[in-house]
Amino acid sequence: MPAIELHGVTKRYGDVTALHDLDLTVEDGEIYGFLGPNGAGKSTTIDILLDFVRPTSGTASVLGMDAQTDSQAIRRRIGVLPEGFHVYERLTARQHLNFAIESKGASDDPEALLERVGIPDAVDRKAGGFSKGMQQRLALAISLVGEPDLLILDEPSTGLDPNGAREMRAIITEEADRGATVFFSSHILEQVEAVCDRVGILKSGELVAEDSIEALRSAADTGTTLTVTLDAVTDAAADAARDVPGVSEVSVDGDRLVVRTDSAAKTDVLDAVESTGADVRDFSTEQASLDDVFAAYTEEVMA
Amino acid sequence: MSWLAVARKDFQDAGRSKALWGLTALFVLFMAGMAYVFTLLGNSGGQAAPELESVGLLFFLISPVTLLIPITGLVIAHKAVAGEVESGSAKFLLSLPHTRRDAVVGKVVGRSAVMCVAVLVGLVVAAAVVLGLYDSFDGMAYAGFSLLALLLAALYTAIGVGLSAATKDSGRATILAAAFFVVFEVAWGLVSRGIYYLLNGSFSPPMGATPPDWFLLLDRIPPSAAFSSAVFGFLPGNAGTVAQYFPQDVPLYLSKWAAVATMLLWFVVVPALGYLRFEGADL
Repeated sequence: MPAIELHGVTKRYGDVTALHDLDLTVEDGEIYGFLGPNGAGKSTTIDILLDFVRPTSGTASVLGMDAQTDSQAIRRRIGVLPEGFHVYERLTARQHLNFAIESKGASDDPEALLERVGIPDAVDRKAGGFSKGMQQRLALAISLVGEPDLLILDEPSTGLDPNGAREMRAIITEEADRGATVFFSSHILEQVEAVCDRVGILKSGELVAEDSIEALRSAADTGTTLTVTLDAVTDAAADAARDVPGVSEVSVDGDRLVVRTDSAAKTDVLDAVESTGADVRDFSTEQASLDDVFAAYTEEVMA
Repeated sequence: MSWLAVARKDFQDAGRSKALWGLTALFVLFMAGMAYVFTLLGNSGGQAAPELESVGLLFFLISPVTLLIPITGLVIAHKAVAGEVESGSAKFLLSLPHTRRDAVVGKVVGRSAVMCVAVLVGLVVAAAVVLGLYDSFDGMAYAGFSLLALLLAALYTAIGVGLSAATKDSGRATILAAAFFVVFEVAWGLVSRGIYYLLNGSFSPPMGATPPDWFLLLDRIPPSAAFSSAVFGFLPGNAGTVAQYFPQDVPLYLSKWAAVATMLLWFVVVPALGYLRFEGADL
């Protein structure tokens, strides 16, 4: 049984379509990274899963239950770190956690939870005085109450420093090892790379890609960029490079050839260029960054 | 019983604010102050000091109570739901396994408890003043008045929460609360008189004549008017207009029990309507 299943979900706000016919399946036990630029519809999707927002059409189910009719039963078994979360300023961290523990009928120890998220000393302090990062850690602790079967984390790294983001990822991995499914959204690809089994990329309310990071990287065709500096760029040299299998694009920039290729064809390109009599003075290669992969999906695919 | 967790949390939250203490101080000063002021009024009549009795104080308290309790109730409750939705703490509340109905019921109970604690402390301190300075203390009457005052406090808090649940914008919630107060507590007399004018060409029944039943009923609909009618009905002394017009057989719908029923209806209806709006809304 999938942990999350969306079928043909469309959500319109007046004239604005936030989600368009979205199908999405998150399997039991996986860590799923839900990516997309701000405004792509990630939060709307999560709001539908939590029944904060009702879809215009389509169905959503969580842990096999209908997101609208069985929402309370769903929320008993999931942990949520909402985006735009706001603490109760006058309540302490302990009171926040006790409220969540009582609400879920769980039996966690507030101090142990805060220890886990790295703010054990804040247990009896009022949350109104917390920094953004501490509030985020408190929210994470709240989401962990009751050993949920599914964690839904909306932009969990918000307000965290790099160290905090790393601790967050460690907790995500621990929870997955325990057997929980983790569904989390982010607009930064680097954050999901290290932990996700699978990622889905949302753009303008539609899922434009869904696969492992590695598969997405190769499918995005952003390969390697090889820059070759020659004594003199000739048409023959450019044509020779173009004919090498694996090369997708060759352009001329002054005395340089800029070759887009898969990384295996690098030496073939250099050999082919030299065989035309050109003298290779210098060359450099550049691996596509994850940002390029992300950009390839969110900027070009839909164009 | 999920609403109980919400109510407890809301009481903790509101109870830690300065609002509870300020409110309690306000009601203590007000109730005890009135109890003291009434002793001065009673003595200034020039006649050989009349008996100072507590029932007189209770009638004297009606109109200030019906001003202070509605205003404070609406003030502490009108952002209970809208404020949470606007700030984002509702996302936290509703991520936990609470239905929206639990959230509204819990808020009504939690905020009403805060309000009732403040009113109760005020009433108790005032009772001490009465016991110390007055010639007589009618415990039953005082307890009855106190219960009705607490019901008024709870129902106005519930109305505030209900109005708050009807909108996501706390500014709009303030406007709704102010509008409710103006319509039902300030301008309501115009409604019954306006209808009377349309029917009879004058704004009120001639002096000495008995107004039609619907006119009397309409005037008892606002929460504080229902409270006053109930106080007049239950306290000894046959005070109030209805007792004047119907010395014997009071029609059921103008009875003291009808007044209490009206108060209970207010306590339920506005939060229920607010909840229905809240249930259907995208947050």
